Amino acid sequence: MTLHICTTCPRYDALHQGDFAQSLHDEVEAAHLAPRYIACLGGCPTDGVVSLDAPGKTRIRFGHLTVADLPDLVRAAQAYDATETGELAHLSLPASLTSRITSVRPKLVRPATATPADQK
Amino acid sequence: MPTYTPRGRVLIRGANILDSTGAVPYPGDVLIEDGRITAVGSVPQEAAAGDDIEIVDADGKTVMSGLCDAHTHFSWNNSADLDGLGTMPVEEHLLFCLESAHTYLDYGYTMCVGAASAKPRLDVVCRNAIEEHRFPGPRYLANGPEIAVTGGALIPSITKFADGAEGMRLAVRELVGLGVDQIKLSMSGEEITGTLHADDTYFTEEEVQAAADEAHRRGIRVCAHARSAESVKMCVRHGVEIIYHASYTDAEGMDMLEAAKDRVYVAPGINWLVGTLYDAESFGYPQAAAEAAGYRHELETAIEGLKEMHRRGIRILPGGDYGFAWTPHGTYARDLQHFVELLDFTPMEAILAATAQGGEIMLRPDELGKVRPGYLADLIIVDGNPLEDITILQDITRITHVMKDGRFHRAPGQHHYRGLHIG
Repeated sequence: MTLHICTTCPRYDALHQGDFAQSLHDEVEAAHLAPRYIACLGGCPTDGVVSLDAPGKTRIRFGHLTVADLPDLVRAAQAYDATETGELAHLSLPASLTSRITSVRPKLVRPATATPADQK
Repeated sequence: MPTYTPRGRVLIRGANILDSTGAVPYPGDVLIEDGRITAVGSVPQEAAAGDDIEIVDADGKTVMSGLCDAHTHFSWNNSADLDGLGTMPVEEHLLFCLESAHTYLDYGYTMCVGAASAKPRLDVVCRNAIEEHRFPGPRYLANGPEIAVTGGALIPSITKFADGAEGMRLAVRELVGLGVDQIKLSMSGEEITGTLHADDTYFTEEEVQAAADEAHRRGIRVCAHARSAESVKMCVRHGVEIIYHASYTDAEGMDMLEAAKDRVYVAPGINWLVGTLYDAESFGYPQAAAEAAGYRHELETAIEGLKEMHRRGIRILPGGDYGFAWTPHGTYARDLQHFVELLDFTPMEAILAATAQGGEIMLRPDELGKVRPGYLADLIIVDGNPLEDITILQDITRITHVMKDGRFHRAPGQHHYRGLHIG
């Protein structure tokens, strides 16, 4: 399972920091999912942040999520797991999530050719 | 404040020991007495007898050294822009620094090398508060404001300006007088400024020589923001011990680094390049802007250079520049993932860079960074094997215990991570 859940959201409400992850935690435990709890996924202005991420794959980040979105997130994660690259073009995401994509980061790959620092 | 256990005897039983000697992890126990590791692997029954010993069942979890961040900024306040580092009032800023220190330790970082402080005494005050056990945090080598020449400051409001050789000597003396552990020179640019470019060098040879000489006369090390090829070479020529970034190291600089590999460290702060390129859009710096500024080119060039440095045995340590909105505090272990995915490090090599070499850069190679008898008991217990998946070190719920100086900072049921009640 490749769900990454932000443990800081909502960053700008100190009293409730961590509530988003806490609200998902009990549900994901009950569903026997195995997410990663990450300090911050860089989507703070759209708090309620989860990303799909895996080695060698594109990272897709969603914002403005709540615990009600968990079933769709699970379906998205399953679809993501079934792809080789995680690229959006190869993914069929639940409609409720497509409008809440806040970042698509291609997986970093090592450059194929060297770019010597002597030649810029 | 977390509740500290008494500094007595602790037996971590049934662990998978990743001792940072390079050995494959092995099953065993770890005995801690009076803040130090006294036995590893097979602990005689009689050594662990008595009513005064706390038994921790690791249940096969990985026991390893706490981690090191070689380019730490307690005072980088998760700002969405550079100027935000300077506008926070000092009172609030100190509180933020203490929170940063707490967060580092929460995430298993027990060793941190300060790379600059946004205000003159923030780092020093934090370091002292940690050493006096007034606030929780990693073992910390404090820095002061970075020194830059006129016209060469990345963030003027947090800079100590100095020009010429004598100006450098005076600046170093003033910072040494504050009680810092190292001096920072801001020698090259940073593309996000828009005006100071990464491949430009702003210090003269004489300025670097004077600053380094003055620091070394006082027994203080020097670190430098050195992205450009020339700044890297100046660093090596004048004995700068810790070279940050080194993005544009050229062939001559590579040879110089290799020749000096026993006395220099490179800490590239690779996540800054990745984050600025891909993760800053939410905070007003679109990817297109980052690419136009040159960050993709710098990242690709840096990756190739760092891979070559690694092949040549030059020490490359993880860490930095956490504390901007798109590289926030708490995400420190992303560096380890980048080391494996981008820089041709094996997971073991990345772990060694963050632990055993962490002890070296902390100047305590025989006390910090390994799980061996005699070493200080700065340990973490990880649910899983980071050699199989190094990303688990980014997940606080997988770091079940954090011990520093033989005391638990975090353990199940003993400390709640802020807002997230796990375990």
